[in-house]
Amino acid sequence: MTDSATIVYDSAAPSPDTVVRAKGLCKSYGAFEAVKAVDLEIRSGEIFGLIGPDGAGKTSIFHIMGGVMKWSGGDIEVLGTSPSQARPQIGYLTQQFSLYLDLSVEENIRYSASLRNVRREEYRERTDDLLRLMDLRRFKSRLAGNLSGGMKQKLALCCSLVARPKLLLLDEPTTGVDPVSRREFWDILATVAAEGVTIAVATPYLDEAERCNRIALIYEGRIKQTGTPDELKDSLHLERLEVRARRQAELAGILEKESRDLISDVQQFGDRLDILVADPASAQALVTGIGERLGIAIDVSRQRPTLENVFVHSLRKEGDEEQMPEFDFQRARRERNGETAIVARQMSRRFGDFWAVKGVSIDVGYGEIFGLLGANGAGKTTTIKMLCGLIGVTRGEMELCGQKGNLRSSSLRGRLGYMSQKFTLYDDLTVFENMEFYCGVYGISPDLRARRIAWALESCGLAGQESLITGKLPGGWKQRLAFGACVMHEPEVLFLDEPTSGVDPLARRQLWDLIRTFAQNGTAVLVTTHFLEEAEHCHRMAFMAGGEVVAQGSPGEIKAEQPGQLIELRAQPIQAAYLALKDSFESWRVSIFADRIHLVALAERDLDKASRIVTETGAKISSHRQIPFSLEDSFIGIVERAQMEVVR
Amino acid sequence: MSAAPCDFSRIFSQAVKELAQFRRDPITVGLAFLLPLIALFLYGYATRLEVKGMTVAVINHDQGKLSRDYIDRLFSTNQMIPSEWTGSSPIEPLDRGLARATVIIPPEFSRNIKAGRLSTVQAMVDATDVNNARVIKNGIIGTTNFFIESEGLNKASKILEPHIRLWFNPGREESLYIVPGTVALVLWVFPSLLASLSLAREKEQGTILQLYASSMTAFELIAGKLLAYLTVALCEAVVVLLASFVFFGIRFVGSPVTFFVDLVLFAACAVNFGLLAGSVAANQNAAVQIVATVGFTTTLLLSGFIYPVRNITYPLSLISNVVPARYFIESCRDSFVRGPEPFSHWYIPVALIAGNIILLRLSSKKMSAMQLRG
Amino acid sequence: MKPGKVILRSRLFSLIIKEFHQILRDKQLVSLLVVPPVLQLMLYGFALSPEVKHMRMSVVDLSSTPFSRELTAGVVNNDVFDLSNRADTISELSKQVSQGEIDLGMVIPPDASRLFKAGKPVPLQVLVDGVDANTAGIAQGYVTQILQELGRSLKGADREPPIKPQVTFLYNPGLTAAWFFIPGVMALVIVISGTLVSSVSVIREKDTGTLEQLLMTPAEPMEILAAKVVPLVMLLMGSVLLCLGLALSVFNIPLRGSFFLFMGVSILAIFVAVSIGMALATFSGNQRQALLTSFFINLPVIQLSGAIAPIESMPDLCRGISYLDPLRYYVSSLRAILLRGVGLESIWPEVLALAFFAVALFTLSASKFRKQLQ
Repeated sequence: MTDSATIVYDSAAPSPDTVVRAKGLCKSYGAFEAVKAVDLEIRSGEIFGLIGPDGAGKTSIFHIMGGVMKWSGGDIEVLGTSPSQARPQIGYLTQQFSLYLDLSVEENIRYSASLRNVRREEYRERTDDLLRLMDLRRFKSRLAGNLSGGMKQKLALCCSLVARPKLLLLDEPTTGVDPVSRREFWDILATVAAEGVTIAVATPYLDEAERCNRIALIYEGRIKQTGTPDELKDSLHLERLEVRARRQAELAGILEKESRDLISDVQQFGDRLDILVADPASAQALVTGIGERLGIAIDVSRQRPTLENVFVHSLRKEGDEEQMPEFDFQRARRERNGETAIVARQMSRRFGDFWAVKGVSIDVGYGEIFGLLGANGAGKTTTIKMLCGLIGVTRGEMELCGQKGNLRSSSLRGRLGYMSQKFTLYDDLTVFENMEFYCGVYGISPDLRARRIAWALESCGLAGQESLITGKLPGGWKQRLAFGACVMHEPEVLFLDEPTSGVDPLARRQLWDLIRTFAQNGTAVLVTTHFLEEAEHCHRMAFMAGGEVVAQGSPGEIKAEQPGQLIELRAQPIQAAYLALKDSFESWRVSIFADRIHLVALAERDLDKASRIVTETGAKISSHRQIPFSLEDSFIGIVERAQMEVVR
Repeated sequence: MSAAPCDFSRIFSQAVKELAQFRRDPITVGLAFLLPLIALFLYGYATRLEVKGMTVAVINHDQGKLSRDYIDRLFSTNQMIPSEWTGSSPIEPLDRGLARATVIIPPEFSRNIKAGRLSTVQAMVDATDVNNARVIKNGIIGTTNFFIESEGLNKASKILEPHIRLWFNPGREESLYIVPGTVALVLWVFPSLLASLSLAREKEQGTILQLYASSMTAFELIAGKLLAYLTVALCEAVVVLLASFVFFGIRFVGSPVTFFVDLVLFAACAVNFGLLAGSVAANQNAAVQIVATVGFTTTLLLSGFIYPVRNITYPLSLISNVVPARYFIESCRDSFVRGPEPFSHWYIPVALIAGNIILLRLSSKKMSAMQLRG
Repeated sequence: MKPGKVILRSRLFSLIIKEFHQILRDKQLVSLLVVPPVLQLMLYGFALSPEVKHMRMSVVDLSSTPFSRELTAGVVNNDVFDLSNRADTISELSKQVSQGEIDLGMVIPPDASRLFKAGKPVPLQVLVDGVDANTAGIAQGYVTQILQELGRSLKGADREPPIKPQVTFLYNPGLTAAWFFIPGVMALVIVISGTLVSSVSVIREKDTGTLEQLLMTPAEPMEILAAKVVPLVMLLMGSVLLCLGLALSVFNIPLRGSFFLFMGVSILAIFVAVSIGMALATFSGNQRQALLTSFFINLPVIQLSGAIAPIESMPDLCRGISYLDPLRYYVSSLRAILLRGVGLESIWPEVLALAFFAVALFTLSASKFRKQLQ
């Protein structure tokens, strides 16, 4: 794939130890306080993550750091001076990449270089190095608009690096990008950081936080916690138990009600339960005991808490969690008896000469949560559009709610719920007007309308705020409200396209609880998401790549299917070790996570081989252990292996 | 870090980038070159202010030869042509829009004339179009006088004998008036539209954030775009002028040097106006609206394009003094029709330079913060 | 069936209510419905004036006698010609004309007084600036007329001419130029802003991506279409009434015909505008494209409609093409209803043509829109 090129920086002027220092930083837009007394310190040469949901204030802070916006109060110093003075030494990758889509790759880089007065000879050398590092050399004259999401992101990175900045600001650089490109991107970032560039990343993705040296959790304009990921997890003083059992929902209910003193958190996923406990041994005993009582087999394993646990814990600590209102189902509950709601058999779709979807077979039963995962361009969007009847099928069969033909009929659509990725709600209407509209369009009877709308508003904590203009809501709230709008008419089948993008972890949990409630009542749910770890919530899922389904099954099944083991290595100096390993093994098998390397060992001797290689470079392995495959690891592995098959 | 107040290499690369973007968008290129030509042809061919072909209905109550001669005389030029109306009501053809005027010849017309008695010819003219109405009235009066003379009915009526000669435009070609005006209109509207869109689009799509994040100054940004779109405007000018030469027979009568100086200044004015509109507008729609409403309408009406500036009522006539197109139209008409002494109308380039300076300062000031609003 | 009908009604109703909310909240859109119409109506109404008045005249008096001075005074004793300059030689006069300082010049020959006393015709050379062919032509007519009358009065007209034309101006006896332009501009403004507003409102759904969501609801394509069209038509009717109010109050234009006929014709024109807007939105990828493409369409539509320049004066080709311009029929209907005060019996051909266009365009664009939805 990529040959790892080293970029040589001349350390003409070494950065001061603290690259960014903010004390009591405030920013208000009119009456709205976006940033409230933030203290921040970013140290030279580290990868710093600012982690938080939409509307938390990340972008405002980055705008201020980048010198493109004034702040309302407090102090901030970047590279020893004010942000606007420091601009020539800062590279800024903004949320929508800020690329000129009608210019070619080369023209974009050249323009960025000219903006910062990069000299001609230096420019040529830099561009070459950068393009080689990001594997964009053969796309030099392609228009930026014709690049895939991952390539655009890499191009944007090139543009921000061409002037050799000392500080690199990345505002949500991987939103909407496929997992393979995302991982590549982070590997590149690690290389860049190793050469002395300080990197600050704003992201809502908690899994990316694992790849930073230090992180700060931000919510509603305030920093909740700062530290390395490990420090934050340790600060919980809790451990996480993964519990796998049948009758999971029942078990979850019992655990939630009964053992509140031992168990501080219970979270349901598609095929497992996570519980947070202070005393793992007693908790394990308790759970096994309950299992015996119910007469079911229980499998418990001990793990470290995740950053999601940390975030939710701190969010819970500060405010009262809103009690989710009950949805008064009018329709009788439909048991999950295997009756299928959505069936696709060898479904294919062609656009001109191009087959976007080839031979996809999926079935989703009532009461099941099914996840459809895949990169942009994998055919996921086309598949979902076919499954909900928006576009027609070129070949193959489809059945929706028992109907084979006339999938566009008005009566069928009345039984479906659909949450589009981009926009479900009208930005220029008030919250109430949006809800009224959906009630009217789905023909909900007038007496039921008031109750449903009240429910929807309460479920996102917007009760009493009916006259807010929807466009002014932060993204996360809009998503929750949009969900409410889609389910008010009690659909039998629910299609959700990226339902939790931008939502904070607590709200995400609540949303998934809601989805589960509907599923338990018999609604078939088809979800797509880029956020692979979220797919754990699904009962079953399908991975798509290149228009085909490359893996299907429950989360546990998929992870179990992965060949080999995942080894976590710690070594010093880590960069040299990483590069050496990347050269010797297939590049998808080696990944760098801040101060750890993940290696996929396919054979017994792989670990020895790795030790040998690392030692040869003069580095020392300080520890290694086996860790479970995540869904992202599985997905990348599947996709890469499929590609290698094609090559062979 | 460059400490110069104004970095020319940055301005230049900004211009290069703008032009690269420009040529990749077919609609914008079409707008820049095709639409001006369409406008040129439309205005050049279709705008005819001269009155001709007015249908006139005649109700002839007389049977004599003189009346028929009179009627023939009426239609001898092509200003008035006979209508097919054969009814008896004089107002009905006007009501129904079948004729613009009705001429009623009274009974005993021929006999009265021969006997030396007074005959009154009644005419009812549709005065909806005031210009036409006046022309018809003058035409009827003129015809009557001519008729009287030619029939020898009033001797020695020629006391003062005008020999009228038209200066500059002996053939009374309308295009000589309209086409220079169209050139000015076209070179005002389209460059300003393109420039305003380019700036508004950067704001709308967020690419302007990268400019804020670099240390580019407002002046460098504006100057870069000015350079790029001025180039486009001058290319447009070449195309439009060539078309005027070929299809409308326009030729240089005055000094080409004066004209080209004025042309460059005027094109710069247009681009600067567009950039000001783009810097003020929140998005591309608003930018187009501003250019269309403020730029196009005022230029169409208050620059002397169709109707002379002299006719504009006060206080609107004050506004026409700040419409740059007014000066350039004069320059065009000087160069293509009148041919005054070179540089005798020096107030034209002076006014245009002043316009440029003001617009440039305004738009630089608007963008000067180079920060996000918030 | 009843409960089904109720649901259908409430679904369509919900859609319509949503559209109304969206349009009324969009400040830019609302201002599009109000500002350009008012602004343009006022501007066009006050600025356009094809009068020929206050033409600057220069006289070369080679005779210098009481007669020549009386002659000079008589020529400018009206508001058509103003004595702005004097010249001593013919070449000086030529220079004045070529510099654009005067509009016309007259040369009184040295033997003028002698010729007059002898009863012989006095030849007067008149040089007219022909840059503006239309004005030149009218000036020509005026010169001839004025000199004839002046001649008679100087001589002391002994005999009344045998034929006296009596011209009555109908419909616009005051010869107010605005009365001609305002109905034309009204039509123009309604159609242009109607097209714009429609295309923006329809394409907005596509732009923001909410269209997909809408398609997944039980709403049928016909309902979505109707929900878009109904509010637009109602709001544009508001615009029409606003323009009518302005015309009646500010410009004192009468409404001599039937108000209902006026509204009926306007509704047809609005449907034409909405159809064009819808077609634009359906064929364009995004709002910017729709906006720019509308420029291509508006230009010929306005030019060939007779709103500003009369159709009769256009060359045959343009006149023929103007039959395809629906705006032409609306303009002439408005003028007929407002100024001529006629009813359907007089203008039924135009109304029929307008109705034909409205139906045809609406059907075409509606079916294209629906096809896109499916």
